[in-house]
Amino acid sequence: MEARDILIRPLITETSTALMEEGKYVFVVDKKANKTQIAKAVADIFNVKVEAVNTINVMGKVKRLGRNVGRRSDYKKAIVKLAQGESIQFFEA
Amino acid sequence: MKVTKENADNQQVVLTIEVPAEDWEKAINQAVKRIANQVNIPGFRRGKAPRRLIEQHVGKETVLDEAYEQYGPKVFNEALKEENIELAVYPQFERVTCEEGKDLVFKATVTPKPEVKLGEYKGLKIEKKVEEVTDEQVEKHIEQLRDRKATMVDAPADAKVADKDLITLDFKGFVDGEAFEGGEGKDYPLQIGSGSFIPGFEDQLIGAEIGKEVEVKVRFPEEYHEKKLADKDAVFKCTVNKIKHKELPALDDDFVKSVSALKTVDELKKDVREKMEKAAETKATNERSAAAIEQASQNITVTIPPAMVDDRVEQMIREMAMRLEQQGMQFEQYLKYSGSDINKLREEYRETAEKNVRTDLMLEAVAKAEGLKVEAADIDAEIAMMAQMYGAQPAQVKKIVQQQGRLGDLAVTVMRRKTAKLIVDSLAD
Repeated sequence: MEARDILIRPLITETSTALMEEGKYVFVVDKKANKTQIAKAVADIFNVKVEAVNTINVMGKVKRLGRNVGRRSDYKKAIVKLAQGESIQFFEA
Repeated sequence: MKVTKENADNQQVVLTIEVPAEDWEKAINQAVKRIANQVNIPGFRRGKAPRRLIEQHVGKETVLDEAYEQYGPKVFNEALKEENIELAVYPQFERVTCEEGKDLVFKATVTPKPEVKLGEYKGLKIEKKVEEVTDEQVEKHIEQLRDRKATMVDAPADAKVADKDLITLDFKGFVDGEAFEGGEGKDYPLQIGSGSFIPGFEDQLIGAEIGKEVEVKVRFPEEYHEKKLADKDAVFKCTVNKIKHKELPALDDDFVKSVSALKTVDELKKDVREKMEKAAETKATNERSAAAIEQASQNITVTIPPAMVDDRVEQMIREMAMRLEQQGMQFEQYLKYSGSDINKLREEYRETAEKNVRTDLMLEAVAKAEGLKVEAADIDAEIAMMAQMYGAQPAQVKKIVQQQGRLGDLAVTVMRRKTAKLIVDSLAD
């Protein structure tokens, strides 16, 4: 799996912004990617040292509009902790 | 903050105001906070998004604009205080540098209130001119009273149409020998001499007899509202159906009783005369007061900045537009109808505007020289008067005025009136 296929987009929310203080960056990643692959992808693309990766599978919510039932897509969320002193400029800019 | 003062043309002053980058940065941060509370950024609750994201979302320009709009006037007012300038008209602003990380620099072209040197304003000698009430004027007034009580009486069948008669007629109009739309009427009531028909029409009907057809030849006026008919010759075939003469009541004691609580004709005449004399007296007093104010304004020495006059002209035009709107007319429409345009109007108002500005400056200067002050009681009295005018409770009126933030304007009005009174009261007999 290619590094750029693994990381789909950064996830920027109030919580994720707060996590940046601790050197943790949150991404939406490919469902099939594992922690090692994610760690490598982040390290390669942003040229940083990764300390740890935590992942969560987020289930899409069931939403209805009238009698139509729909489902938001599931996605995998990865919280990547970088080594002390490292940062990803992409998020800051 | 650093302020540089520079004199410009037309009694204007250009202030260049510089704010150090740190203060400006603070202002930007405040602006970001205000904006944050207004925009929704996905992933964040309102007001919680970081500055970077907000700038991305609304654009840096918007943030800077907001910061400038909030902060600029504040700094400007401080600068005015520092330079001891009193504004005469709203200033013009120009941003020189308005960037993040740099000093904020902007220019304001201000018109300070001109210095007024008072001339003579106390004990002015102005004659009071009371107009004499003549017998003719009294007669005329009584004539009007009679006219109001006039009755319309059917005229006999062989009567002829005379001026002031109310007639009903059938008419059919032809242009170039052809009848046209809207040119026909049956049993149409027409007051001769009222001028409600095309000019000349009514005159030609005078002398017409009941039941006999008369041809009326007229030419439609050039500015007739129906374009097709404007400036065209037309022939109207008219038949008068009915004539009503206007009959004035005889001037006798009965008539007097019907229009007033008085008894005899002589009493009425005396009463009318007295009322007219009183009106003439009031008019003369008012004119004298106006003349006194005018004189006092003429006596001051001041160079009025053109910007002040321009500002007043605009204000007058705005007021007029507002009045028109209340009457349900658009300002542009009015201009079209009256065959004027906004620049002409400005020219027309210029003189009055200058005079008004001069008067205001004079009153202000006099108030200052005399140490006049507006007391709370004065304002209350003014409010009570307004309340009476609108038929409302004084407390209510006060609340409304306060809500509209016009208490300051009111104080100015009261002050002007008070000062004017001082000048008028001091008039030499």
